Amino acid sequence: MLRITGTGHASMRIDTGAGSILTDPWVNPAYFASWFPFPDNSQLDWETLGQVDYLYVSHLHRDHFDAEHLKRYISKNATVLLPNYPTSELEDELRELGFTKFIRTVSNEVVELDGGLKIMIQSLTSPTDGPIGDSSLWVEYDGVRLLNQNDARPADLTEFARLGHVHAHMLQFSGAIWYPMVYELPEAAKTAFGKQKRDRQFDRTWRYIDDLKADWVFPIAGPPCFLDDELWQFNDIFGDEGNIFPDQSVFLREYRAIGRDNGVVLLPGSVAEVSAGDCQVTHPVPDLDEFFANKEQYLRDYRERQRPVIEAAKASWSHPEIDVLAEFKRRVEPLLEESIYLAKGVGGPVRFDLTDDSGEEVVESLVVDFPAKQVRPYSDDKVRYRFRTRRALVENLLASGEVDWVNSLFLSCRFSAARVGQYNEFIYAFFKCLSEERLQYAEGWYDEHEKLVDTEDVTLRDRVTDQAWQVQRRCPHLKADLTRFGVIEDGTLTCQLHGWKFDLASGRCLTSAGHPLRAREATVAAGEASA
Amino acid sequence: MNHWAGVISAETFATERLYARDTIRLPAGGDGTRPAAGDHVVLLARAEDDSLVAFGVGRVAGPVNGGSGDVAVNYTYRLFDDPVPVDLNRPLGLTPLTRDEADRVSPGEPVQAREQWFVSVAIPIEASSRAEAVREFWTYIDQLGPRELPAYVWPLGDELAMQAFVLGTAANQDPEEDD
Repeated sequence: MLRITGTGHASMRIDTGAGSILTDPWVNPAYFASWFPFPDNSQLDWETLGQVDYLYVSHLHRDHFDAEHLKRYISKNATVLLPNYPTSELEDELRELGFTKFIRTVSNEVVELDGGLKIMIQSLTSPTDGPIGDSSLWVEYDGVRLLNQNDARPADLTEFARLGHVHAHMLQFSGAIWYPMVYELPEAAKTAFGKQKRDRQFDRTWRYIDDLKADWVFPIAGPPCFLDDELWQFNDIFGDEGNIFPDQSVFLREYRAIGRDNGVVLLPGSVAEVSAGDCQVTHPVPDLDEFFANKEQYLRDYRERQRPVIEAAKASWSHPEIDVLAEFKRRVEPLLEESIYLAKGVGGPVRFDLTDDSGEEVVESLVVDFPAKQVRPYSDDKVRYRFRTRRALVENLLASGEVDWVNSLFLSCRFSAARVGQYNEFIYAFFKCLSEERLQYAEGWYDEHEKLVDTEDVTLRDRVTDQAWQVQRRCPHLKADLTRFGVIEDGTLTCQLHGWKFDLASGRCLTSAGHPLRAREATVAAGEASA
Repeated sequence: MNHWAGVISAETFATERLYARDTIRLPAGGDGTRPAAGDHVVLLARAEDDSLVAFGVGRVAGPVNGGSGDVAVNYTYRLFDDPVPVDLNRPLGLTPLTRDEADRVSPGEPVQAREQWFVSVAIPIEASSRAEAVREFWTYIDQLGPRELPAYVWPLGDELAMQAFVLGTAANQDPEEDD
């Protein structure tokens, strides 16, 4: 039997006879105090819930990774079940919070823990998967299996289905994005596109459910609620067909409409006991339907409780000491210089209009010019992509060194966007990669995607022997561009981004098993090679 | 009346399907035979796997002015969104078909009833006046066209069914979707 306690949003505590797992505990508001867990989970007994054997943080999005909460409440004796991501950011952040025990999983490989508890984590690692990495957790104990798919979007669920019938399937069904609300579109288009998105979200959810055919289906990982007055309209309490944040009760209604009755809602504090043939659920409220029927009043009360939190957050955003243009240039221009695919994909200048705190007046406009690889004040040139947000938010991002503006500014929905033309994924990909490590990974991923990684070679010269070598352009580790990061000394190539070494004569990676590098001696004229 | 296969490349087809033009221009074949006005043309496009699909039927209007040797073909009907695979191998341009071949590869005329649609292109434009905004609008339309600008289309009376189209196909603009 698995005992599953709902702990809010994507979070749950899974108790088994061989230990307990806490997933994605999120309590504090995320994304500039715009998202709050719905329903409120702050009153749970986190001191007790946090005493667990294992911790699973699916990815770094702030509604899954709540640093403050993890630090304060979650036992540092917990062993972290770590997804296999291309960068070490998640592990680094958890170590920073005091966690020391890690089980580094390999995607799609089952790990047997003590006492017969088995887990498997599937990691998704394209630049469009969350903050470069999203994952799902599969658990088996005593013949009962659970898949916490979370908000991950694998192509299919075959890897889980092959491990045997799944009894409990948890997955996202609601929206988690700024589309279409923030875009400057005709109102009718916004409503139509929101409605279609809402429909697509349910269709996708049904597809995953049909893929796995679990006994019980748990709608999780959303929706958040928006308690700041400025964002209040995003809550699905106005009968707006175009709202992309339907809640769990809407899920149940829609799910029943397609003839299914195995949906299970977990409120914070609900407990589901799942066995091979049964699922017994208790809730912390007397009537689930009544709870959702009173949602608007619930949110109003919640908003009043959180008002001081929101006000305090807003008071902390501004960093007037930051020279936004100068800092923007310092942070972004070196990355523009390195960017090949992303810069080409964006293809033009992107303007940021920064407003005062009221949002009424633009106090500064700057342009990130991708073709010119330059950040500059806006003059009056035409731009096809424009963002408008508070200057204080950008000051905050620059002051904190935030490397992922999707996981902060954009998911906050505290911006508007205007665009001439179609959606351009490269803009968001770039602004979630404001570190050398992330940018190199994304560039390499797109490079590989374009099927160039196996075809493009470059010539580098040994600094010691002057021997020229023809090597693949992208490092086999995280795809760093070796014309920039590769240094050859005495027949050994070092990729200076992460220090990985390769023996060029054999192509063998000296740092890690596998990861061979294609290399051969080359003959070039003096001055042609660079390293 | 003679019959012809008029074959265009995949790239030309991608452009052709963006517009509802009355006429398509095709190079005459190299064997010296000239199509005559009124001749029947099965319009074919080369698919990615090098096979041919029929995307319409037309009638020869006559030579294109200017001495290029190209021939203008008036569309009788188009099947841009549902081209039909055909078992035929022909080079680009116009080449003769036998009557039997023409009967075999001619796609049937679509029988869908015509409905009324609204189509709009809404662009957020910065300008000093309405008139200037309109000028900017037409400049964008001219420069970017249906390759880059999403056009919104909905059946009369049902705005909630509005969809965005780019490159001749539905393309929702949702960052969370990859279609």
